Amino acid sequence: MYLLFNYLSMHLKTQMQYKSSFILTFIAQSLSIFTEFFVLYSLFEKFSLLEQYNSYQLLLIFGIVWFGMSFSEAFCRGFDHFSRLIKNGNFDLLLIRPRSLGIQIIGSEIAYEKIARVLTSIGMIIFSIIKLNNEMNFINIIVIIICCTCSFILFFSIFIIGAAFCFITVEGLEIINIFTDGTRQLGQYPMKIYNKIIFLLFTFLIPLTPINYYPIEFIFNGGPWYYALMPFSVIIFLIIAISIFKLGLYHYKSTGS
Amino acid sequence: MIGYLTYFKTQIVTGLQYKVAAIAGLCTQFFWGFLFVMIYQAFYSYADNSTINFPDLVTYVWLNQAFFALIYIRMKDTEILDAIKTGTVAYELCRPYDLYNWWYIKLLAKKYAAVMLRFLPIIVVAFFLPVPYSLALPQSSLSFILFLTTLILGSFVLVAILMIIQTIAFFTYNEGGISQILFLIAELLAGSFLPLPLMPNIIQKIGYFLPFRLIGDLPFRVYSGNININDALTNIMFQSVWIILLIIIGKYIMKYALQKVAIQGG
Repeated sequence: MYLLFNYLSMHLKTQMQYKSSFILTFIAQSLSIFTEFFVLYSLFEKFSLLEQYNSYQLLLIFGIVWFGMSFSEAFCRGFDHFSRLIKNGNFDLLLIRPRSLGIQIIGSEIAYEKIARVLTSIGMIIFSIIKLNNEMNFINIIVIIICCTCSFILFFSIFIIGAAFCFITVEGLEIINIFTDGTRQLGQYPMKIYNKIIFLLFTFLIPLTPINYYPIEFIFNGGPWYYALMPFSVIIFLIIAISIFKLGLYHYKSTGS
Repeated sequence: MIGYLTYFKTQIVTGLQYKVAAIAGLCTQFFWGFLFVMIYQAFYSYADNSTINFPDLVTYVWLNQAFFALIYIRMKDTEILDAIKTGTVAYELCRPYDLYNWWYIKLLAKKYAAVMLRFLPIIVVAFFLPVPYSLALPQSSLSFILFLTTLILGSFVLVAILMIIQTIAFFTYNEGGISQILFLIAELLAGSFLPLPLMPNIIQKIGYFLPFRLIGDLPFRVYSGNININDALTNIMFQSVWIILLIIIGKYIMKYALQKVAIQGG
């Protein structure tokens, strides 16, 4: 854990060398999220669906999914850019060191500019919680926090699976970006608007609905209690992801440096 | 003039070498095409939209994906910026050609090479998809000709805009920050996030005053007949005026920037 914090502060110091550009990038990143929500909102408005979907509920779902995505983008870049580690041989270096492999990969790269997105999405979630005050109680807030954490675990797992594929292909696969960005793009809308096939696909193949559908149903539409526990199913996905990664590691042959 | 043409040709030939990148790009484009069609279908199943109907929108999405390389505003490629950072801009300045034209041609050639490798497979596959999800034929042969004209003029508009944004990097030595914000605004008003007809009315009105929608939004809607022939002709006039205007502004900024430029490194 101490090692992780060391990594974090080291990367922050490097980034802070370019102050003005850092701040502007921060603003730009934050604006890009607002733009995405603006687009979503205008779609709902154009098709006059705002009566059916409360706009603060939309913001909440949007915030949860974006939080998970940006948090893993910010702190798990090492997995996202895993192909670079393998290609330049630095991965072998990590294998030699007597520290946890996961923490070292995470520490190899941290994208601080994405923290702007993390903060923005947290702001969005808090704002919508305040606005939805009537329907909020202690349990519901806990459920939302669980959702956020599990949303992070979901995107983190996809990153790990992507990294595992790099053991075979060496070159990074754009296909994996499709999964992360695609899941985010689909997940920022309420899953109810999609048809059955997509709904099932994103329940059993990629567990997105346990994060952005079932708990939301529990909070706002009086779904049964076990809906609130659905987010934990993401942990199964994480276990699968880690086993795939371990399998890849077992068959790993160095590219040399 | 011949110098410029030859340069254009060599740049295109260079660009055509990147075939693997093109295949990877193709997969992504297909995926996003399907994704957007799915999302929009979800909305159209609730209500219809008066400004653009669903088949027209699907055509819009597929054309957008097919010609993505040509209309993509955000530039990952920072060759010009690198030239400034590493100091190779000094060599470029030594050439007996105008620097603005030289780089303009380079960017244009890159875009054309990228799109030549990508557009055909997407068009063909999208054309043979089942009916509500497929790319339709152009409304008439005239609208097809107008589509091609507006698309080519649109690429001129885009490159002129890119030149301006890249030259601004002269002053900051950094591709991040300010240009990211500029790209964001440009993308929003060009309809990269959401086709312009689905935007709130106020954004549509702002968008119509600015050149960004002339890049992709206009040609794709001309193709499906969502914008009729007369409007298309007026818009071609707009495009020409904007191209001239943007090139003049770009040249002026570059002239100013070159007076200030310090050669980095030796």
